[in-house]
Amino acid sequence: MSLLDILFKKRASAPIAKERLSFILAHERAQRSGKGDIVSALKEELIAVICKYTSIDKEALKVTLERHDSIDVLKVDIALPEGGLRRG
Amino acid sequence: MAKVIVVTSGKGGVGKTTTSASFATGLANRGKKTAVIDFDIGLRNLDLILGCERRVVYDFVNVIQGDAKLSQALVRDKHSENLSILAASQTKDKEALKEEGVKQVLEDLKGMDFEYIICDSPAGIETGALMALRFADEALIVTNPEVSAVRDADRMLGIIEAKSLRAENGAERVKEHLVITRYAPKRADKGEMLSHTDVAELLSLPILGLIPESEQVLDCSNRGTPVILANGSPVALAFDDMVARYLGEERPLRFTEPESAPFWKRLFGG
Repeated sequence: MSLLDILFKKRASAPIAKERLSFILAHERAQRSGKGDIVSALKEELIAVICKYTSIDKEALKVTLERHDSIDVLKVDIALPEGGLRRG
Repeated sequence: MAKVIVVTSGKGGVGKTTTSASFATGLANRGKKTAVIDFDIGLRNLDLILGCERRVVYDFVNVIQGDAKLSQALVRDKHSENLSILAASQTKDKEALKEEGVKQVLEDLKGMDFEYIICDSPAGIETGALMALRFADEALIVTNPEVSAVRDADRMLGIIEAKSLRAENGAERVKEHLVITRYAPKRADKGEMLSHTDVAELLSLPILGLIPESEQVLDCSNRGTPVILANGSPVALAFDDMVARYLGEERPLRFTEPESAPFWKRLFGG
Protein backbone atom coordinates (compact mmCIF):
# COMPACT_ATOMS: atom_id res chain seq x y z
CA MET A 1 0.00 0.00 0.00
CA SER A 2 1.52 3.34 -0.97
CA LEU A 3 2.02 6.21 1.46
CA LEU A 4 -0.41 8.39 -0.47
CA ASP A 5 -3.08 5.68 -0.34
CA ILE A 6 -2.69 5.66 3.41
CA LEU A 7 -2.62 9.45 3.69
CA PHE A 8 -5.74 9.91 1.63
CA LYS A 9 -7.43 6.86 3.14
CA LYS A 10 -8.30 5.24 -0.16
CA ARG A 11 -11.02 2.80 0.79
CA ALA A 12 -9.81 -0.73 0.13
CA SER A 13 -12.56 -3.06 -1.06
CA ALA A 14 -10.94 -6.42 -0.20
CA PRO A 15 -11.87 -6.17 3.51
CA ILE A 16 -15.48 -5.52 2.46
CA ALA A 17 -15.36 -8.62 0.22
CA LYS A 18 -13.97 -10.66 3.09
CA GLU A 19 -16.59 -9.49 5.54
CA ARG A 20 -19.46 -10.10 3.10
CA LEU A 21 -18.13 -13.54 2.27
CA SER A 22 -17.58 -14.63 5.85
CA PHE A 23 -21.16 -13.65 6.61
CA ILE A 24 -22.76 -15.38 3.64
CA LEU A 25 -20.59 -18.51 3.86
CA ALA A 26 -21.39 -18.94 7.55
CA HIS A 27 -25.07 -18.55 6.76
CA GLU A 28 -24.98 -21.02 3.87
CA ARG A 29 -22.93 -23.55 5.83
CA ALA A 30 -25.36 -23.35 8.71
CA GLN A 31 -28.22 -24.08 6.33
CA ARG A 32 -26.35 -27.04 4.87
CA SER A 33 -25.69 -28.57 8.25
CA GLY A 34 -29.30 -28.02 9.35
CA LYS A 35 -28.33 -25.39 11.92
CA GLY A 36 -30.02 -22.66 9.91
CA ASP A 37 -33.38 -22.90 11.59
CA ILE A 38 -31.93 -23.01 15.08
CA VAL A 39 -29.92 -19.87 14.41
CA SER A 40 -32.84 -17.88 13.04
CA ALA A 41 -35.08 -18.98 15.93
CA LEU A 42 -32.36 -18.10 18.43
CA LYS A 43 -31.87 -14.77 16.71
CA GLU A 44 -35.54 -13.84 16.94
CA GLU A 45 -35.79 -14.79 20.60
CA LEU A 46 -32.61 -12.95 21.49
CA ILE A 47 -33.89 -9.82 19.79
CA ALA A 48 -37.25 -10.16 21.50
CA VAL A 49 -35.64 -10.52 24.94
CA ILE A 50 -33.27 -7.60 24.46
CA CYS A 51 -36.08 -5.39 23.19
CA LYS A 52 -38.23 -6.39 26.14
CA TYR A 53 -35.75 -5.03 28.68
CA THR A 54 -34.41 -2.04 26.78
CA SER A 55 -35.63 0.70 24.52
CA ILE A 56 -33.30 -0.34 21.76
CA ASP A 57 -34.55 -0.26 18.23
CA LYS A 58 -34.68 -3.69 16.57
CA GLU A 59 -32.61 -2.29 13.72
CA ALA A 60 -29.73 -1.61 16.11
CA LEU A 61 -29.34 -5.33 16.79
CA LYS A 62 -27.31 -7.70 14.71
CA VAL A 63 -27.09 -11.42 15.45
CA THR A 64 -24.75 -13.44 13.23
CA LEU A 65 -23.19 -16.86 13.16
CA GLU A 66 -19.64 -16.88 11.81
CA ARG A 67 -17.23 -19.70 11.28
CA HIS A 68 -13.54 -19.29 12.01
CA ASP A 69 -11.59 -22.38 10.99
CA SER A 70 -13.26 -25.04 13.07
CA ILE A 71 -15.22 -22.96 15.58
CA ASP A 72 -18.60 -21.32 15.18
CA VAL A 73 -18.95 -17.88 16.71
CA LEU A 74 -22.37 -16.49 17.59
CA LYS A 75 -22.03 -12.73 17.56
CA VAL A 76 -24.56 -10.30 19.00
CA ASP A 77 -23.90 -6.65 18.08
CA ILE A 78 -25.94 -4.05 19.91
CA ALA A 79 -25.61 -0.37 19.08
CA LEU A 80 -26.50 1.37 22.35
CA PRO A 81 -28.53 4.55 22.10
CA GLU A 82 -27.16 7.80 23.52
CA GLY A 83 -27.42 7.79 27.29
CA GLY A 84 -26.87 4.03 27.52
CA LEU A 85 -29.35 1.33 28.41
CA ARG A 86 -32.83 2.31 29.55
CA ARG A 87 -35.72 0.11 30.38
CA GLY A 88 -38.13 0.21 27.46
CA MET B 1 -3.37 -47.61 -5.59
CA ALA B 2 -4.63 -45.21 -8.23
CA LYS B 3 -5.99 -41.86 -7.09
CA VAL B 4 -9.00 -40.16 -8.62
CA ILE B 5 -8.72 -36.38 -8.35
CA VAL B 6 -11.53 -34.04 -9.37
CA VAL B 7 -10.71 -30.49 -10.48
CA THR B 8 -13.79 -28.43 -9.72
CA SER B 9 -15.00 -24.92 -8.90
CA GLY B 10 -18.71 -24.37 -9.35
CA LYS B 11 -18.10 -21.12 -11.19
CA GLY B 12 -17.03 -21.12 -14.83
CA GLY B 13 -13.96 -19.45 -16.26
CA VAL B 14 -11.81 -19.67 -13.14
CA GLY B 15 -9.22 -21.98 -14.68
CA LYS B 16 -10.34 -25.58 -14.12
CA THR B 17 -9.25 -26.84 -17.51
CA THR B 18 -5.99 -24.87 -17.45
CA THR B 19 -5.31 -26.33 -14.00
CA SER B 20 -6.29 -29.88 -15.03
CA ALA B 21 -4.02 -29.74 -18.09
CA SER B 22 -1.02 -28.38 -16.23
CA PHE B 23 -1.47 -30.55 -13.13
CA ALA B 24 -1.82 -33.72 -15.26
CA THR B 25 1.19 -32.75 -17.41
CA GLY B 26 3.24 -32.00 -14.31
CA LEU B 27 2.45 -35.39 -12.74
CA ALA B 28 3.19 -37.17 -16.03
CA ASN B 29 6.51 -35.38 -16.46
CA ARG B 30 7.50 -36.59 -13.01
CA GLY B 31 7.06 -40.12 -14.23
CA LYS B 32 3.53 -40.76 -12.97
CA LYS B 33 1.23 -42.56 -15.37
CA THR B 34 -1.67 -40.14 -15.59
CA ALA B 35 -5.02 -39.93 -17.36
CA VAL B 36 -7.10 -36.78 -17.64
CA ILE B 37 -10.81 -36.94 -18.45
CA ASP B 38 -12.97 -34.09 -19.74
CA PHE B 39 -16.41 -34.30 -18.07
CA ASP B 40 -17.78 -31.26 -19.89
CA ILE B 41 -20.11 -33.15 -22.21
CA GLY B 42 -21.21 -31.01 -25.15
CA LEU B 43 -18.51 -28.40 -24.50
CA ARG B 44 -15.27 -30.29 -25.08
CA ASN B 45 -12.23 -28.09 -24.41
CA LEU B 46 -9.46 -30.00 -22.68
CA ASP B 47 -8.31 -31.43 -26.04
CA LEU B 48 -7.72 -27.89 -27.34
CA ILE B 49 -5.79 -26.81 -24.25
CA LEU B 50 -3.56 -29.88 -24.59
CA GLY B 51 -3.28 -29.46 -28.36
CA CYS B 52 -4.62 -32.90 -29.30
CA GLU B 53 -7.99 -31.89 -30.81
CA ARG B 54 -7.21 -33.33 -34.25
CA ARG B 55 -6.35 -36.73 -32.86
CA VAL B 56 -9.60 -37.32 -30.99
CA VAL B 57 -11.53 -40.12 -32.71
CA TYR B 58 -13.64 -41.58 -29.93
CA ASP B 59 -14.76 -39.93 -26.72
CA PHE B 60 -15.83 -40.63 -23.13
CA VAL B 61 -19.50 -41.19 -24.07
CA ASN B 62 -18.55 -43.55 -26.93
CA VAL B 63 -16.73 -45.68 -24.34
CA ILE B 64 -19.59 -45.56 -21.83
CA GLN B 65 -22.09 -46.56 -24.51
CA GLY B 66 -19.88 -49.38 -25.76
CA ASP B 67 -19.24 -47.86 -29.22
CA ALA B 68 -15.49 -47.86 -28.64
CA LYS B 69 -12.95 -49.50 -26.38
CA LEU B 70 -11.27 -47.37 -23.76
CA SER B 71 -7.87 -48.06 -25.34
CA GLN B 72 -9.15 -46.73 -28.67
CA ALA B 73 -10.53 -43.55 -27.12
CA LEU B 74 -7.48 -42.62 -25.02
CA VAL B 75 -5.31 -40.08 -26.84
CA ARG B 76 -1.60 -40.15 -26.03
CA ASP B 77 -0.41 -36.64 -25.18
CA LYS B 78 2.21 -35.18 -27.49
CA HIS B 79 4.10 -33.41 -24.71
CA SER B 80 4.40 -36.27 -22.27
CA GLU B 81 4.37 -40.00 -22.96
CA ASN B 82 2.97 -40.75 -19.49
CA LEU B 83 -0.19 -38.73 -20.11
CA SER B 84 -3.39 -39.90 -21.80
CA ILE B 85 -6.48 -37.84 -22.53
CA LEU B 86 -10.08 -38.96 -22.68
CA ALA B 87 -12.05 -36.27 -24.51
CA ALA B 88 -15.63 -35.24 -23.74
CA SER B 89 -18.31 -35.93 -26.31
CA GLN B 90 -19.14 -32.89 -28.40
CA THR B 91 -22.45 -34.18 -29.70
CA LYS B 92 -24.10 -36.30 -27.04
CA ASP B 93 -26.42 -35.22 -24.30
CA LYS B 94 -24.87 -34.73 -20.86
CA GLU B 95 -27.35 -37.25 -19.47
CA ALA B 96 -25.32 -39.87 -21.34
CA LEU B 97 -22.91 -39.80 -18.37
CA LYS B 98 -24.41 -42.68 -16.43
CA GLU B 99 -22.94 -43.42 -13.03
CA GLU B 100 -22.33 -47.10 -13.79
CA GLY B 101 -20.55 -46.19 -17.03
CA VAL B 102 -18.32 -43.59 -15.36
CA LYS B 103 -17.47 -46.07 -12.60
CA GLN B 104 -16.53 -48.73 -15.16
CA VAL B 105 -14.24 -46.35 -17.09
CA LEU B 106 -12.46 -45.37 -13.87
CA GLU B 107 -12.10 -49.04 -12.86
CA ASP B 108 -10.70 -49.87 -16.31
CA LEU B 109 -8.19 -47.01 -16.12
CA LYS B 110 -7.04 -48.30 -12.74
CA GLY B 111 -6.69 -51.72 -14.34
CA MET B 112 -4.43 -50.17 -16.98
CA ASP B 113 -2.04 -49.07 -14.20
CA PHE B 114 -2.80 -45.38 -14.28
CA GLU B 115 -1.59 -43.87 -11.00
CA TYR B 116 -3.51 -40.61 -11.21
CA ILE B 117 -6.87 -40.03 -12.87
CA ILE B 118 -7.73 -36.35 -13.15
CA CYS B 119 -11.42 -35.52 -13.67
CA ASP B 120 -11.84 -32.08 -15.25
CA SER B 121 -15.29 -30.97 -14.08
CA PRO B 122 -17.61 -28.67 -16.01
CA ALA B 123 -18.89 -25.52 -14.30
CA GLY B 124 -22.22 -25.65 -12.51
CA ILE B 125 -23.69 -28.36 -10.32
CA GLU B 126 -25.43 -30.55 -12.88
CA THR B 127 -24.81 -34.13 -14.04
CA GLY B 128 -21.32 -33.60 -15.51
CA ALA B 129 -20.06 -31.86 -12.39
CA LEU B 130 -21.70 -34.41 -10.07
CA MET B 131 -20.26 -37.34 -12.02
CA ALA B 132 -16.79 -35.76 -12.03
CA LEU B 133 -16.72 -35.60 -8.22
CA ARG B 134 -18.71 -38.78 -7.52
CA PHE B 135 -15.76 -41.18 -7.32
CA ALA B 136 -13.11 -38.69 -6.23
CA ASP B 137 -10.52 -39.53 -3.59
CA GLU B 138 -9.20 -35.98 -3.63
CA ALA B 139 -10.39 -32.63 -4.98
CA LEU B 140 -8.64 -29.56 -6.30
CA ILE B 141 -10.94 -26.62 -5.60
CA VAL B 142 -10.07 -23.92 -8.12
CA THR B 143 -11.06 -20.35 -7.36
CA ASN B 144 -10.17 -16.74 -8.11
CA PRO B 145 -9.81 -14.14 -5.34
CA GLU B 146 -13.26 -12.82 -6.16
CA VAL B 147 -16.49 -13.02 -4.15
CA SER B 148 -18.64 -15.11 -6.50
CA ALA B 149 -15.87 -17.62 -7.25
CA VAL B 150 -15.16 -18.09 -3.52
CA ARG B 151 -18.82 -18.52 -2.69
CA ASP B 152 -19.25 -21.09 -5.48
CA ALA B 153 -16.13 -22.92 -4.30
CA ASP B 154 -17.65 -23.20 -0.84
CA ARG B 155 -20.88 -24.48 -2.34
CA MET B 156 -18.87 -27.11 -4.22
CA LEU B 157 -17.22 -28.19 -0.95
CA GLY B 158 -20.70 -28.74 0.46
CA ILE B 159 -21.68 -30.80 -2.58
CA ILE B 160 -18.55 -32.96 -2.25
CA GLU B 161 -19.42 -33.52 1.41
CA ALA B 162 -22.94 -34.55 0.46
CA LYS B 163 -22.79 -36.23 -2.94
CA SER B 164 -19.44 -37.97 -3.25
CA LEU B 165 -19.40 -41.73 -2.90
CA ARG B 166 -16.92 -41.42 -0.02
CA ALA B 167 -19.36 -39.21 1.88
CA GLU B 168 -22.27 -41.49 1.12
CA ASN B 169 -20.40 -44.60 2.27
CA GLY B 170 -19.10 -42.87 5.37
CA ALA B 171 -15.57 -43.61 4.12
CA GLU B 172 -12.57 -41.38 4.80
CA ARG B 173 -13.52 -37.92 3.54
CA VAL B 174 -12.42 -36.56 0.17
CA LYS B 175 -9.12 -34.72 0.65
CA GLU B 176 -9.59 -31.16 -0.56
CA HIS B 177 -6.87 -28.80 -1.79
CA LEU B 178 -7.16 -25.13 -2.70
CA VAL B 179 -5.86 -23.71 -5.98
CA ILE B 180 -6.08 -19.93 -6.33
CA THR B 181 -5.67 -18.71 -9.89
CA ARG B 182 -5.41 -15.27 -11.53
CA TYR B 183 -3.76 -13.92 -8.40
CA ALA B 184 -2.43 -10.36 -8.58
CA PRO B 185 -0.13 -9.81 -5.58
CA LYS B 186 0.07 -6.10 -6.28
CA ARG B 187 -3.69 -5.66 -6.11
CA ALA B 188 -3.96 -7.86 -3.02
CA ASP B 189 -1.25 -5.75 -1.38
CA LYS B 190 -3.23 -2.59 -2.12
CA GLY B 191 -6.35 -4.11 -0.61
CA GLU B 192 -8.10 -4.21 -3.98
CA MET B 193 -8.21 -8.00 -4.08
CA LEU B 194 -8.78 -10.70 -1.48
CA SER B 195 -5.37 -12.01 -0.41
CA HIS B 196 -4.46 -15.68 -0.73
CA THR B 197 -4.59 -15.98 3.06
CA ASP B 198 -8.10 -14.46 3.09
CA VAL B 199 -9.33 -17.01 0.55
CA ALA B 200 -7.70 -19.93 2.38
CA GLU B 201 -9.18 -18.77 5.67
CA LEU B 202 -12.67 -18.23 4.22
CA LEU B 203 -12.72 -21.72 2.71
CA SER B 204 -10.75 -23.35 5.58
CA LEU B 205 -8.53 -25.14 3.07
CA PRO B 206 -4.75 -25.45 2.71
CA ILE B 207 -3.32 -23.78 -0.40
CA LEU B 208 -1.84 -26.27 -2.86
CA GLY B 209 -1.33 -23.83 -5.71
CA LEU B 210 -1.13 -20.06 -5.97
CA ILE B 211 -1.11 -19.17 -9.65
CA PRO B 212 -0.41 -15.58 -10.64
CA GLU B 213 -2.43 -13.76 -13.28
CA SER B 214 -0.49 -13.88 -16.53
CA GLU B 215 -0.71 -13.23 -20.27
CA GLN B 216 1.12 -16.51 -20.71
CA VAL B 217 -2.08 -18.51 -20.10
CA LEU B 218 -3.78 -17.16 -23.22
CA ASP B 219 -0.62 -17.49 -25.25
CA CYS B 220 -0.31 -21.16 -24.29
CA SER B 221 -3.96 -21.92 -24.96
CA ASN B 222 -3.55 -20.33 -28.41
CA ARG B 223 -0.75 -22.80 -29.05
CA GLY B 224 -2.31 -25.87 -27.43
CA THR B 225 0.48 -26.21 -24.88
CA PRO B 226 -0.24 -26.61 -21.16
CA VAL B 227 1.10 -23.51 -19.45
CA ILE B 228 3.25 -25.54 -17.03
CA LEU B 229 5.54 -26.09 -20.03
CA ALA B 230 6.08 -22.34 -20.60
CA ASN B 231 9.65 -22.58 -19.32
CA GLY B 232 10.63 -20.14 -16.66
CA SER B 233 7.39 -18.15 -16.68
CA PRO B 234 5.90 -17.39 -13.25
CA VAL B 235 2.74 -19.39 -14.05
CA ALA B 236 4.77 -22.44 -15.08
CA LEU B 237 6.85 -22.16 -11.90
CA ALA B 238 3.70 -21.83 -9.80
CA PHE B 239 2.14 -24.92 -11.38
CA ASP B 240 5.39 -26.85 -10.99
CA ASP B 241 5.42 -25.89 -7.29
CA MET B 242 1.85 -27.09 -7.02
CA VAL B 243 2.65 -30.52 -8.47
CA ALA B 244 5.74 -30.84 -6.29
CA ARG B 245 3.73 -29.94 -3.19
CA TYR B 246 1.05 -32.43 -4.15
CA LEU B 247 3.71 -35.14 -4.32
CA GLY B 248 4.93 -34.20 -0.86
CA GLU B 249 7.80 -31.78 -1.49
CA GLU B 250 8.15 -28.70 0.70
CA ARG B 251 7.82 -25.64 -1.50
CA PRO B 252 7.15 -22.23 0.03
CA LEU B 253 4.47 -20.17 -1.72
CA ARG B 254 5.82 -17.80 -4.34
CA PHE B 255 4.30 -14.70 -5.92
CA THR B 256 2.61 -13.71 -2.68
CA GLU B 257 4.20 -10.26 -2.65
CA PRO B 258 4.41 -7.68 -5.44
CA GLU B 259 7.81 -7.29 -7.04
CA SER B 260 9.58 -4.54 -5.19
CA ALA B 261 8.94 -1.22 -6.87
CA PRO B 262 11.25 1.80 -6.94
CA PHE B 263 11.00 4.14 -3.96
CA TRP B 264 9.04 6.84 -5.77
CA LYS B 265 6.49 4.29 -6.91
CA ARG B 266 6.06 2.97 -3.42
CA LEU B 267 5.49 6.54 -2.28
CA PHE B 268 3.04 7.61 -4.96
CA GLY B 269 1.54 4.26 -5.91
CA GLY B 270 1.06 3.04 -9.46
